Amino acid sequence: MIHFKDVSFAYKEGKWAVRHINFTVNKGEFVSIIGGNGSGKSTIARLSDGLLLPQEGSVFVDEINSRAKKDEFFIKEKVGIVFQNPDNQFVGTTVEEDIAFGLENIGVERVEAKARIEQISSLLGIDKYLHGSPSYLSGGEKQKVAIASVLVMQPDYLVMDEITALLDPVSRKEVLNLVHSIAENKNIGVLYITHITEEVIKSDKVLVLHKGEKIKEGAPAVILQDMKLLRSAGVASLPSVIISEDLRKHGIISASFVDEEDLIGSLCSN
Amino acid sequence: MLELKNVFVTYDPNTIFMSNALVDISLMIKKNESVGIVGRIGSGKSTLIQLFNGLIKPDNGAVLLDNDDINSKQIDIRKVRKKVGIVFQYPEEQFFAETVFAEVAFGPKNMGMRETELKDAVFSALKDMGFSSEKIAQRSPFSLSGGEKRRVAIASIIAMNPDILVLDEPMAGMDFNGKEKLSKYIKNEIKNGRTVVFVTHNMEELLEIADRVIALDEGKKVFDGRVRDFFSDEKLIEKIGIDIPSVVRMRNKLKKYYSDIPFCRTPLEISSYLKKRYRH
Ligand SMILES: Nc1ncnc2c1ncn2[C@@H]1O[C@H](COP(=O)(O)OP(=O)(O)O)[C@@H](O)[C@H]1O
Ligand SMILES: Nc1ncnc2c1ncn2[C@@H]1O[C@H](COP(=O)(O)OP(=O)(O)O)[C@@H](O)[C@H]1O
Ligand SMILES: [Mg+2]
Ligand SMILES: [Mg+2]
Repeated sequence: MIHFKDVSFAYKEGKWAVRHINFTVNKGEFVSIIGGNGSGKSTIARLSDGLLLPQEGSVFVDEINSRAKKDEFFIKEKVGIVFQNPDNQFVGTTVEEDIAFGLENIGVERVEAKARIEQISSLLGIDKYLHGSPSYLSGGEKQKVAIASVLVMQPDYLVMDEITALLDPVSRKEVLNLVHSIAENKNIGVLYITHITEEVIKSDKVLVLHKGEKIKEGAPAVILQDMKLLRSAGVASLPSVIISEDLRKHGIISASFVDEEDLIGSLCSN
Repeated sequence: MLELKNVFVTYDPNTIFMSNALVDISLMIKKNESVGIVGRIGSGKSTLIQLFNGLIKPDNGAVLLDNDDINSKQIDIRKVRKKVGIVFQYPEEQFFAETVFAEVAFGPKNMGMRETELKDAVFSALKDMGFSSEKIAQRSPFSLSGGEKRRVAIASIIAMNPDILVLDEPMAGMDFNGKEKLSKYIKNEIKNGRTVVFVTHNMEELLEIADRVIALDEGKKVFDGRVRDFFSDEKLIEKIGIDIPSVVRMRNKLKKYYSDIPFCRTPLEISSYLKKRYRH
């Protein structure tokens, strides 16, 4: 379990980037954080694997406090992070070398490494680029490579910080579905950070972040119907909810719908 | 008017990395149009727009601006670049100046604009991008929020007053508030007569801003026409890896029941139609 216990962090004294944050991510659980730019999402990502240490409160990964210096590597192995900008993450001259980099560092055998790389890259649809240079890839392709580099390490938790920002809509869905299915099948806990509302629909729970504070936590169906909450957090509402709310105000339908099909169903049945 | 005639671009020819980035592209962009360019990652969108001001030269075919071949020796490429301003992806990553003013003034200064005009050009461009107070000009561009940085970067191109403003994924990485603002200012540019061409993956953005769509697939132009016609070609859309936006999907489903529902660009256009319908 990743456990944030009353966590506060400031880059500069007196200016909290995140404040009093509490939440947990269990293995196999898919937890989303949604919020506008500057709301503290990336700070939470960096706190979750000990890249940053909180000034107040504590972050635990499987009970280990991220402040425990001797367990630094334990936490880094348990928690794999993919950031929004893949360019900062490249080290190798070929894509394959790049993905292999982390594996070599932790001493995984060549044969095993190769097998993992092949499996994950075909899963992500990047096997055809393995022998090319990462610098020629487009942003989205690079991001898939970055995701593969983390997945081959077989972490227990994945923290994904706006990883689909550079992907086209179809690969975005592909990648998101993939992350969902990995979380389920491999029993990985996912902390999925995004500002795209549709992306949180299938989460187990959603945290809404605004100005460094968690302003709400709940099931996606509940959070997504709250247009006021989302607007104040600077994130978009779903078109289905915008339409429902407008119609509800005028007494045309009686409930608000997150699911498009449900909305259409209610409008096309009477 | 910008015209591409049977343009081909090949990267790394005669090597194993050879890629036919653009294949036989012809198109025309007329004054005052707003054109969205869509297609998968790697389909050639960024290559295409870099042809527009000569940053990339075609291996075959021609790029004409107001009927002149921009790659011919007689043409002053600086004049072309003044007329066709390109804002690249994540333009704020290229910031270098100490003040917003210097950042925005850099382009027009380089183009030989005189000091006297420069100030007006800079402030008018900043205003276009939603900075009404002149105080912003003396701040460091690095101190701005992500959304503000992006708008300053766009202002630095607008300051050259290009006829055609070309944007490569202008909203990438921005949040809802940032997108909402930027989309408003881009729409204003169009309203004020600027020709706007933008690359996007976001179909909501396309619906809201563009009149026309050019779709690329593996370097080929596979669609060129009105937004509404684009979204009614479901087979094509699926083939080129585009996701039908929720608004269009819902509208199409409603059409089976409400046969007179018009094409809708936003959720509120759908609910307005339904409200009218239920009033009767
Ligand atoms: N390296 C840094 N140094 C100083 N302030 C920072 C740094 N990174 C982020 N911040 C500030 O912390 C706050 C939260 O930022 P961040 O966690 O990056 O938000 P988000 O990822 O939601 O956009 C913002 O006010 C931001 O300006
Ligand atoms: N500088 C370059 N060198 C070699 N190949 C490139 C270069 N830039 C782009 N490509 C290749 O050309 C194709 C089109 O790329 P690009 O125009 O960037 O597409 P898009 O902007 O649609 O993602 C891709 O296959 C890409 O890998
Ligand atoms: Mg962030
Ligand atoms: Mg591109």
